[in-house]
Amino acid sequence: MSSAWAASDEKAALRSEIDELMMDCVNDDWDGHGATATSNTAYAAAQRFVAALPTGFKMPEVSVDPDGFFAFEWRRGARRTVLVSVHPDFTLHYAALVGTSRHYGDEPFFNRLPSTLEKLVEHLYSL
Amino acid sequence: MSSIPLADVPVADREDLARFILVEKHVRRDGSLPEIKAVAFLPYKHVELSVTRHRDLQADELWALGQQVADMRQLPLVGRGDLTTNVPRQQGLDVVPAEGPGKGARNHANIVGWPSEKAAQMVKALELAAAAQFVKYSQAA
Repeated sequence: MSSAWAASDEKAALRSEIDELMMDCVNDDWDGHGATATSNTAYAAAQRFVAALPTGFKMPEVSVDPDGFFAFEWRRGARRTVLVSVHPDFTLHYAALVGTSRHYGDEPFFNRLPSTLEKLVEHLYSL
Repeated sequence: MSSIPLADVPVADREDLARFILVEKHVRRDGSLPEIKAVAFLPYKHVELSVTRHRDLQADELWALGQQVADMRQLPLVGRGDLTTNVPRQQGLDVVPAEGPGKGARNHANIVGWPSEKAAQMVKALELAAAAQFVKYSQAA
């Protein structure tokens, strides 16, 4: 059994990936399918999200959604995954597949990881 | 490649579909699953997802369509995500023939019926990513 709480703090690496993605997706249609470019507000929201991850918490992968907002994913397999999209309007959109169960919804985000998401990720790593 | 128009031919449940991948970072190279990230299956800007029907195409013809898409966008063709039509349909989505650009117009289709809420779209994108098989593009293909 692995834990959602990692031994080391990998936030610096995650921030570096966000910086790289910000550069990769700076122009519209960066995915060839009509995506919107990233923005300074999307970047700032992503950085706030990283800052809100509890110390020692398992670090997610980061990507950019086609709407230009950053998405974070915790994943232990194709059907064991939690995906969170961070919007600058202080909203987190999330979806999760955990075995045969599915979860999705929205949570307000004011610089603290909502307990709903913290529990989902911890559940993912407790299986 | 057959020249019979497909625009009026419904997409059958067992038809194979391809989502061309033009962003290297949409693919996981560490052997973990799913190989294609869910963000590659999120619909945008219209609430539909553009795909190509394999129907009547040889492998080299399918790749040629992908290369055409990549050339039009001036992006590299990384590969494609293959899935059968019944996968989106099991998620309450549908696959319909659609107008497309250039030589690929005949085989173009859209995955439609997406909910408007982003979180609801995301969970369906996770399901498509979980079912999709990544096929890497090789110049020799």
